[in-house]
Amino acid sequence: MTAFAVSLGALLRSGSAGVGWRGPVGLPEPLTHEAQDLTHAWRIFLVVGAMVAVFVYLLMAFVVIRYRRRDDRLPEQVHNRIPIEIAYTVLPALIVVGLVIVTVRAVRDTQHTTANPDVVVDVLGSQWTWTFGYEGGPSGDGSLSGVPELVLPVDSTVRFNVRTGDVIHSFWVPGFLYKRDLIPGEIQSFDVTTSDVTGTFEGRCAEFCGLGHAAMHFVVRIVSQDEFATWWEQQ
Amino acid sequence: MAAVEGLRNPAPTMVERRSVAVFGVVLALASDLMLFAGFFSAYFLLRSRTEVWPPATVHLDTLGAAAGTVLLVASSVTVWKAQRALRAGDLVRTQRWLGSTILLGIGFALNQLRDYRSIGFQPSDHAYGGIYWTLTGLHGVHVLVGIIALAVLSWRVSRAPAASTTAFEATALYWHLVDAVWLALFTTVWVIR
Amino acid sequence: MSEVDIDTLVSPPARNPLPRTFLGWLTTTDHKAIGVMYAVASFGFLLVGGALAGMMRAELARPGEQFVGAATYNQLFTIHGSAMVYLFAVPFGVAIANYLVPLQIGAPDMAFPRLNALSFWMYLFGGLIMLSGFITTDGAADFGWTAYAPLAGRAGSPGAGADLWIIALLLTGTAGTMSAVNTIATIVMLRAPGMTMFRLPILTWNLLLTAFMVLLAFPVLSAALLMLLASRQLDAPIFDVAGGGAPILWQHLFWFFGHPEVYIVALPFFGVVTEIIPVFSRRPVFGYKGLVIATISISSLSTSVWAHHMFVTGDVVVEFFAITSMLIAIPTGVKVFNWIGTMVGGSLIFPPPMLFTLGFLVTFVFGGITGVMLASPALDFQASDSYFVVGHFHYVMGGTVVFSMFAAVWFWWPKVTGRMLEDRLGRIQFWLLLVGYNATFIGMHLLGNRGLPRRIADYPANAGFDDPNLLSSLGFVVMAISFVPFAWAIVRSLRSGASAGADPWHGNSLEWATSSPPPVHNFDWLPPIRSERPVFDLRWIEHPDIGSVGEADAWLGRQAHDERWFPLHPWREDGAGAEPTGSGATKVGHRGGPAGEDEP
Ligand code: HEA
Ligand code: HEA
Ligand code: CUA
Ligand SMILES: [Cu+2]
Repeated sequence: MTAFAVSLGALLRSGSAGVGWRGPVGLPEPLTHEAQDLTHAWRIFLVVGAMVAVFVYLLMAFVVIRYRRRDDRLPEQVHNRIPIEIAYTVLPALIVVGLVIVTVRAVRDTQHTTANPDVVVDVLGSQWTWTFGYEGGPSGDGSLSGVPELVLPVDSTVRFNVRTGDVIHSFWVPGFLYKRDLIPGEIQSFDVTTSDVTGTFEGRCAEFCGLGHAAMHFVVRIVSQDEFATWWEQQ
Repeated sequence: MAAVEGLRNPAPTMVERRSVAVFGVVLALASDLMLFAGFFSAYFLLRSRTEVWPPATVHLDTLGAAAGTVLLVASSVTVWKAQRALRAGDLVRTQRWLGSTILLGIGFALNQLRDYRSIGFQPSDHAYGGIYWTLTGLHGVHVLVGIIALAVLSWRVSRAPAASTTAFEATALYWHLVDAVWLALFTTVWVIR
Repeated sequence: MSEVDIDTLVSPPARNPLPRTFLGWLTTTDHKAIGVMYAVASFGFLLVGGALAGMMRAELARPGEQFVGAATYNQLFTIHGSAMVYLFAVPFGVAIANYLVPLQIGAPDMAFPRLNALSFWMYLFGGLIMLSGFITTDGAADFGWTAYAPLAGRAGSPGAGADLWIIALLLTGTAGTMSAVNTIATIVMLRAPGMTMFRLPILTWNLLLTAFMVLLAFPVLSAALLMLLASRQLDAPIFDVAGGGAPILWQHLFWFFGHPEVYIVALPFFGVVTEIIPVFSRRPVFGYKGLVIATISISSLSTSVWAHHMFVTGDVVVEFFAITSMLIAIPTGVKVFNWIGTMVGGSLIFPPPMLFTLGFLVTFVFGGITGVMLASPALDFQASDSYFVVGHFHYVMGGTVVFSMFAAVWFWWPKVTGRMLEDRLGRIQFWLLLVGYNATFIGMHLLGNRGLPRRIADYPANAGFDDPNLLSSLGFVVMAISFVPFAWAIVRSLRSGASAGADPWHGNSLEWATSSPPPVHNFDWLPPIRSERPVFDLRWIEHPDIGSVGEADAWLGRQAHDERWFPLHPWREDGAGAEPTGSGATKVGHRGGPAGEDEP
């Protein structure tokens, strides 16, 4: 029981072992402008969801306490109250409309592609590693440094063309708040615009792809524009 | 029991005339239809994602399939005739029409076998081959089951005609379904492609 | 003004009509015996699935691989998920349908008793086939319960366990379809006089709609499985791009089945709590028609949301499926508020069935809300395939199925066995389960957002994953302990439980108007059926607000009208064999009976 309490305490402390979780409910610090928009959508959903949950739970608690059986009389037999029923159909419907609007906006804001991205990366996932090739530039091979590395400059639009060499994988950078499946036979593209955050971050394969799925991760290093140019030359 | 009679509903209803068993068969056939629906949607999804469909190497024998269609549609008519004959109490005709149905069914199955032997591609050759063989194969299995069911039915009618009406209705419904699925299949695979 | 004691109207059973010998169980076609077998078997699979979960939690308690390697772990979650969904959750719903539908509609048995027995044995056999994968050389299937192609193809999963898994699902799927046919036929054709569609208990309504969804969804899974089998055994490249196939096809087919499937799992249990709340609130269910309409809307919507499992494939119109998915929150919310509305103004008591029902409400609402978050692609892009999803579906599946299943067990155990379970043990079990459940699954949402993908045996240390995982594993221990008081309660009840009588809870629906356990053909007599609560009406027949005997004439007139609209008793054309023998319910003119299959 003490171990239980200790770990519960640890859970409630925001972040653990030096990792900072800036976003709500464990969401990582957004690394792209899209991720900022998506974090915003998360916030709205969290607030609405929490409100609905709290409302329902308080209502339940109230009802359970207030209407305990006190005597043996048969309570009034109410079969329905149409106005109330309509109310609790319409109110959630209104909430849903709001959430749909938030969703459609967020999708529209984050799912567009630009004509001239600054960097184009070809992402190849295969059991169980990643290869990142830069259009007109270096082609990073994961086997060189052990863990495959994806290097990106700050404040740039980056186009990812993702494809797989075998089964389905999923390209996930938690800091992007975004992932995209790699489907055999398809090359899919999406754009992100990096913000001004620099640093080294985790990326992983999210779709189960066999024995090495858990180990199929990579590193995202976001560097300043100058640093990126130097790196580009070196490769 | 008088009070009991009082509760009885004098007006015959649709459901009362059909038996529970036939209702069950209809439900089962509906789910069978969904099984085919799965295969048909697979066909169309694959088709929508492929540029040359069917592949250039595939040459379909439309005439042969049309012949099969004729056989199967005819067998639907004969089974219906058999059912009418049974209702009219004409056992000789019932058996005759049932026999024709079985023969037509066998004819269809043989025609299908001929198609498989001459078609010239295997399920493993391409996705088209895979879906062609599984779709027609699933239907073929239904035909075989139907032929067996019809044979058993014919034997039952010869033993206890009065007690076979429900089984007859069920088998006939099944056979019509097999026919209807074939029409959809023929349209899909040979006409629309 | 006083209550009529139903027990005084019911003669106690001479002896338990359930089979006594092994051969008896093997050959029985009695819907009650089959219901009990379904319940016992699916509970057994819950234990198996729970034991597999325990092995996963042991592995995941700490980073690094300590206990099982990735190869075993992949089999563990595959069979855990498959067993829980296909062998526990769905079949427990079938158990409820089998045992209760005939009782609740006043019928002597299911429409097709022999088909019923056949489907049970097919299901059990299929389940054992799935588990038998563990003893093959390459182990059980290891591609997740969703079996995505091309990983599930022969190249990705060469082992025989995969084929056994496919065959097992074909068998259990067919068994499920057969029981669905049976359930629908029973409810439509075998209702007692007066039992119109709008007097069906909500549980029966939900089971009816579940059965329709089974007919719609299961065959599509079978089709997909047959294609997978063909691609594994005949090398048909249906899902293989090299041969012109499409891996995404599997996902469309699977989720067209898979999403209705989650409501196939949920609806029977929604029905269970709808039976329980009114009884312990002493109120009619609030908004009966609203509940029926909500259930119908959920069933129909559930066929057009499947691609919300495919938002991150980039191959679907995310907005469309987001909207349809979120719409489901509305009818589901109606249900939740109807349940609460039933309690408002009631006179509530909290024996174990009611406690578990409240536990269900708490966990289900939470899981539903995270479901709505997943339904937004904007959030799902992050959450999909992460532990957030695992958290979501354990709250809905576990909340719905586990809590509501225990509610059902505690509620109907006295009916099935004739003996009570001990309340005190139920309360202990409930609190342990509630604490254990939430401890196990709440932290998973955090884990997912922090970047932990699902289906991994190992995770990096000190990356924010350690503590929530440890908490989760400890939660599992608490949950496992909660099974002990339950087992103890069962043992005590079977050995020396207090006799239950016909109507221990003062129930509403017809099953409480017969003895516990019910006789072979269920009823010696039936009370008049004037509402969805015939037993309640009978109990309070002297109460001025409920209805006095003087209303009986009006009732008869009403009945003639109803019968024309909802044909009540099917008659075989030859009219033979439908009358139940022995204690058949002829006293009230009940004529429905098992039919059809017993024809020569
Ligand atoms: C019993 C099973 C069950 C149930 C009932 C649900 C219910 C819902 N589920 Fe869930 N789901 C699963 C089982 C279930 N799910 C499983 C097993 C998976 C994972 C499969 C896998 O990949 O392995 C999954 C995955 C899953 C995903 C895919 C995630 C991913 O993999 O990326 C999504 C996305 O939309 C989703 C959405 C929903 C929604 C919107 C509901 C809704 O029906 C919920 C509706 C309920 C409520 C909302 C609460 C009550 C309502 C109110 C109190 C009214 C007011 C509320 C509001 C206005 C918000 N579910
Ligand atoms: C109805 C559905 C259901 C239920 C009830 C549960 C119940 C539980 N599940 Fe699971 N689960 C799924 C459906 C369900 N699950 C599905 C569909 C998946 C996805 C699979 C996939 O990814 O493919 C999944 C995946 C899943 C994972 C993620 C695996 C991964 O992605 O890597 C985890 C991890 O903790 C987990 C844990 C648990 C736990 C601790 C329970 C507990 O609630 C269990 C409680 C049970 C017990 C506590 C029983 C204890 C009994 C004993 C210990 C005695 C044993 C004795 C004998 C065998 C005789 N489940
Ligand atoms: Cu690649 Cu998981
Ligand atoms: Cu879903």
